[in-house]
Amino acid sequence: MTRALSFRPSVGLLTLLAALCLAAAGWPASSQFQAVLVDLEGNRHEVAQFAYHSRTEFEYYVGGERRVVPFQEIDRIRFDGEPGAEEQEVLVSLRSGRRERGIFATGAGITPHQDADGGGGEVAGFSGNTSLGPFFRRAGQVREVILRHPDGEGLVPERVLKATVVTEDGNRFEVDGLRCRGGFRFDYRVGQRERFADLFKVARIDFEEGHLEDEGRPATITFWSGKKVVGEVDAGTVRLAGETDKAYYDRVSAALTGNTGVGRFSVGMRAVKQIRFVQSQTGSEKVIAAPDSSASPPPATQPPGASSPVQSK
Amino acid sequence: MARCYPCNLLRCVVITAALAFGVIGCATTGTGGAGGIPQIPEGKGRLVLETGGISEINFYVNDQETDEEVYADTPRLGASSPMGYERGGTDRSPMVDLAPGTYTVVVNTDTRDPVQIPDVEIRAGEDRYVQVPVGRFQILYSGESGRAQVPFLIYDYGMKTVLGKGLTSTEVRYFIAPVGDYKIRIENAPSGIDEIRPVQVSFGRPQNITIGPAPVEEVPAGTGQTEEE
Repeated sequence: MTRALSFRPSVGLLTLLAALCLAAAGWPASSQFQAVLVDLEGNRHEVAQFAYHSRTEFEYYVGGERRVVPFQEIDRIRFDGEPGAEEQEVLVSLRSGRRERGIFATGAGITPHQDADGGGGEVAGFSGNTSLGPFFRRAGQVREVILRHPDGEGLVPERVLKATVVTEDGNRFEVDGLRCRGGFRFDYRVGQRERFADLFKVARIDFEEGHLEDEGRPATITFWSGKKVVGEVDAGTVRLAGETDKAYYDRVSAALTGNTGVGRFSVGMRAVKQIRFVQSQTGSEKVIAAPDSSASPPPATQPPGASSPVQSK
Repeated sequence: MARCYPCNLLRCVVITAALAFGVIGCATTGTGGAGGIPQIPEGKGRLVLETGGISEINFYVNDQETDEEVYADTPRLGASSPMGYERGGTDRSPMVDLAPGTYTVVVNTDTRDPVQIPDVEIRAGEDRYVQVPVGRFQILYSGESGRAQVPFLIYDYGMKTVLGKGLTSTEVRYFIAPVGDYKIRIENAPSGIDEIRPVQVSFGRPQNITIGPAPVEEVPAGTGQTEEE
């Protein structure tokens, strides 16, 4: 009897060990980043294959605006605020020298909603590997993250996009710091395929006239390499069910944002005729380390669909 | 008759080892055979996307040197398409055979944020497994007359930005998003419906969100009960 009882745990243990070995051997690591993580107790951890929530970008909010910054642009992140709080203040130091203070959600992934079935249970945190094995820290247990970059620790010039934006009513704006929906990615669609273009590789974008009732608008994208792509851009003006006022304004009237000589600039995709980009100069720009920046002032409120009447030539 | 303990231990070790090697054998490629995964063509390597159980995913591969698109696969319809639903299909991870080189893999999701995986090196004759940090969720909406097809919006967790839009289905339908926390909102002003739910997208663990009362199963007439005369 005693021998029969001792037989069962051996089979289960060996099977479990075999399964664990298989799982460990077949799991490829995706992140190539290294970082030093300082937890709330002051312990420093050298972490390889560093990732946040399985991703290599950091999401936070500055002045109510969502920011998703890839790790290669971040120097360090400092978490200030109450440990364990669902939202914490963060100070993100970018490699360009600029710093941003914002809000970061740490405790969103603890308890699934009562209407949720399955999934969930994955706590948001920083993961990777150390010399002692797999590493994980919940986001609320971290004081500071210092990212290590293979190309050194010096300042990296921040890429700034400059362009001339021509609107449908003939106005022309010289825009500095142009962003498309908060980033440098221009999303378009070719049939059913969704693609995007890195705006730093684009020379110009010409928009064709589309029907007002169409959600899409044809556009021709010309790259600096000479390649041309014709696609369709989301330029819908119909308000979607569930869309907040801010979300609707951002989608319809502030698809393109930036700065002109007289102030902030924003325009919707429906109102643009052409965008001509200035080829970026890299490597020789002087980097100015900005002080802690609060949220950038919101663009002037204007009716949806209207172009920004800041400057005309 | 007493059992021999060392014999039992040896037997369980052999069985466990056989199971382990059997699983390893199933995971390897290149052996071909009827119904199996085809061999890697000569001179090429194989890119396998680990998507946590998602067998159909829209993705494309760019040559990192030339920035040219070398492969694309778009089996899924858009999230707001009224005809989108899961059709079953294979359980294999998405894979493609490529010439040796360095590539960028871009996976399209049902949000506006694609997942980019750069510096994927493909070598001739070898498999390259790439884990894609995406997950899926399902919205099951029930109205007064049962399951309904309703539009919804996908927000970031702070509800500052609309990341995507979708249309629920009366069939099984999953929506794919990068790993993270989101909120979905269903609003119908005429009927007064305004539902907001948090959604946790995890790798390999789909989450189902049920909104509204569970549909009541209709009992077919003439079964179970008889009238008393």
